[in-house]
Amino acid sequence: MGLLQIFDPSAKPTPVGIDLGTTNSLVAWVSDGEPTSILDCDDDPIVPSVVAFLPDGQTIVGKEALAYLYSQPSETIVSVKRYMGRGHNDAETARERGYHFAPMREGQANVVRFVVHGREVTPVEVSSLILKELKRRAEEKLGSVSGAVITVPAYFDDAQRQATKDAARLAGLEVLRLVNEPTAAALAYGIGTQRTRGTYAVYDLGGGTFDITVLSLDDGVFQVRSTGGDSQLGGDDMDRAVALAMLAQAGETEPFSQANWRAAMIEARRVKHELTDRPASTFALSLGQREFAHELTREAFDALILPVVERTGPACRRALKDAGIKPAELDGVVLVGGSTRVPLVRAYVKKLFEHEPLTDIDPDQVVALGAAVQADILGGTQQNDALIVDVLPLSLGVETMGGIVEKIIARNSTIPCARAQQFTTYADGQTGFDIHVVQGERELARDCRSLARFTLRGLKAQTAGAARLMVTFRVDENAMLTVSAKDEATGLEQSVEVVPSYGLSDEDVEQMLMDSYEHAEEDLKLRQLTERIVEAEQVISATHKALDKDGDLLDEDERAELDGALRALADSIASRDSEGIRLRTEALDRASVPLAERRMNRAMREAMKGRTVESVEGDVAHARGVDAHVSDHAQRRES
Amino acid sequence: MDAFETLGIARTFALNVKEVEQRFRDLSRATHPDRFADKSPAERRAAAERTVALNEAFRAVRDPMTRVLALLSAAGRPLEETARAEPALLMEIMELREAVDDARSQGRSAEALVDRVASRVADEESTLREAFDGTAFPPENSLLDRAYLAGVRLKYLYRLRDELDEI
Repeated sequence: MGLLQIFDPSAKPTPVGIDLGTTNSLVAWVSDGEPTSILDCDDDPIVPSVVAFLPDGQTIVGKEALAYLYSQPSETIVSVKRYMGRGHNDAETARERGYHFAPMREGQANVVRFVVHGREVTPVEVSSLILKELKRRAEEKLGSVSGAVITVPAYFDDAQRQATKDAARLAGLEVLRLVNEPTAAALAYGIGTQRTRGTYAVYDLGGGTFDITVLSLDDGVFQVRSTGGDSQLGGDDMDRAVALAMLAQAGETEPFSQANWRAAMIEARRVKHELTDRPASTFALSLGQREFAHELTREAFDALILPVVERTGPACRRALKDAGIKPAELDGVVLVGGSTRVPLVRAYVKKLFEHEPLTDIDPDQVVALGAAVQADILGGTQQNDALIVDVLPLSLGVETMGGIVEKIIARNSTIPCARAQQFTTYADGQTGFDIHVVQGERELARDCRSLARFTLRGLKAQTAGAARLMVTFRVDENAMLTVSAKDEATGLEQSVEVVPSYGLSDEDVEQMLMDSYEHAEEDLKLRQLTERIVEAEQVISATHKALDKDGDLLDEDERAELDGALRALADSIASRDSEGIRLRTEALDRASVPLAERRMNRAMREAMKGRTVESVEGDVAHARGVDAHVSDHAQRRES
Repeated sequence: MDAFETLGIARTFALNVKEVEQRFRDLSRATHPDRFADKSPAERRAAAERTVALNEAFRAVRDPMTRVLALLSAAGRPLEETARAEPALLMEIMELREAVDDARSQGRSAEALVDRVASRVADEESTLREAFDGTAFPPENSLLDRAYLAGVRLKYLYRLRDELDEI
């Protein structure tokens, strides 16, 4: 009964932070106010992001999977993150990495499919195996996990974020929030909690990727000012440069045998680590029958890797320029990624940014630790006053006539946000139309990332231009898009059929979930009941708390109705009536709307006290929701 | 409920963006969904809607052009999408743009031209302040007419100014 254990209410579930990295992944939590990584039995926090699929259907994740890289390279998936939210025709997919991909079939979602021992797996499934391993580790340590903050690169588009969420869902992890990696790194340094403003550069040099981000923080609001980088640059390039030099010094000439090259790469990595805190090291190579050993000084090593390190320069300068800031104006530079341990990298960063970089936190762990801080703020027990707000990383728009993109929500808009756009028919008698949603900064739709196509149907046939459809684009706190549409003439909500351009549909993910249970039907029912009980109990407890604090906001009738809904739901829980719990949770939800609205108004009034803005007028007590706001706006534009 | 009401501020053209931003932050802190992670779904929804409305409102009033649009809408004279400036202004803008291009291609400073655009912008903005920063809202019709015209002109002038900034 593994499922029940997960939801065991007696064990206090803990929120965790997860760095789902290209090369390595980690999970961390906040223990007594201190973010801490969860270690394996060897005291190692790192889970290599490697999944080996064995012929017998078994899967192996992490350190143990590395062993299969040589024996079955095409069934051992590394850097799966590069394929998240990507389609068959993407440049990244075409890059030669030795995997077998399944051809795309008619009617199938456009996602990459690895072929491993005759079965097909998607990047979402591979990532979910890594997440499951992290979850298992966390549960071993903490008993039970209540949810996770998962980090993603700042430039991840909607499809890539969705793929990450799908992977979490498959792994049975509730996503509390997707947080941008540089934001998480900054959080780990107390930027956002202890410090509330400033501009920071986050320099992230990992095994195979380089990212530079300029972040500004203003009163707890993080804004990504610019991002840049090189998805094919990292510590591995340093290893290659050193390995080449070692082999040359040993008198080997190209082409090297696979065994020699592999031995040189492993030795290069070891020497690199040793030279981090020593002036010199000795490398030793077994080359067939002979042995070769030689000294390598820090100086010689630095000369070898300098071209690699210098390749990070142009992206950094461009990022600063894009952010409109000079190095001296920065408030700090945060280092992320194991490769930033190399002294030459630190010296280079210092010179480039004219700041001594922040290095107190292990650069391999800093992102996961920051994610844990955010998880603690979101789901933790202690009251933390920090509010961390991100922005939409890439503009959202729709394709219009001639393939031109009309921007609906501009990049760097504070999220969550919503914007409405009116659409009209262009042909007589037209009863529906297609909307192509894209993401990116380019002018032409084909140069942007295609996100989805929406088909709106069921309009009343009228003359061209007579029908008016208000389409509302909403971006939630995770920078993810949802769309709804309303027929202005009838006021009816329209169904929006979403066909994601990349990635899996809800049904695909649901099917994968089913497949992962051996006794799908029974398990699913039990899981559903358990989930409903947990949810219902949460709603009851939240409602009681709200009533204790602000019960005075309700009149007697409203109070009686709410009390009745609370009692009814408690009865259903007691009788373990799954359907009854669902219905009565919904009923309680409806009954608590007046209380919720008034509590919000009270909170807003409280927030306005204390600080005055010149000649305040208007009464927030009449505040309505976004729908009213958006439709007012549209009406005004129209009239 | 317009952007000014949502933020609880007066409908004026001149405003202290820093102060308004502070107000926006204070309200965001009270309504952000993160504050309601352990609350009931009804409260989480209410919080999300308020936050969206706040973000939209602040976006609208922060930028002078969208602020003009919001003010004109609130005063019952929304700027038509199709509104065009008078030919004389369009001509002036075309000439300015060409002059700037010439100056830049010949390596001369375009400073004087940039200043000219700035002073044209300042003229229109002072009309808006006159219309909206008085005591009555909406302003009387003659003021509103002038404000409307200023709004139309600023659409062009702000764009030209942004273009000059970018080069």
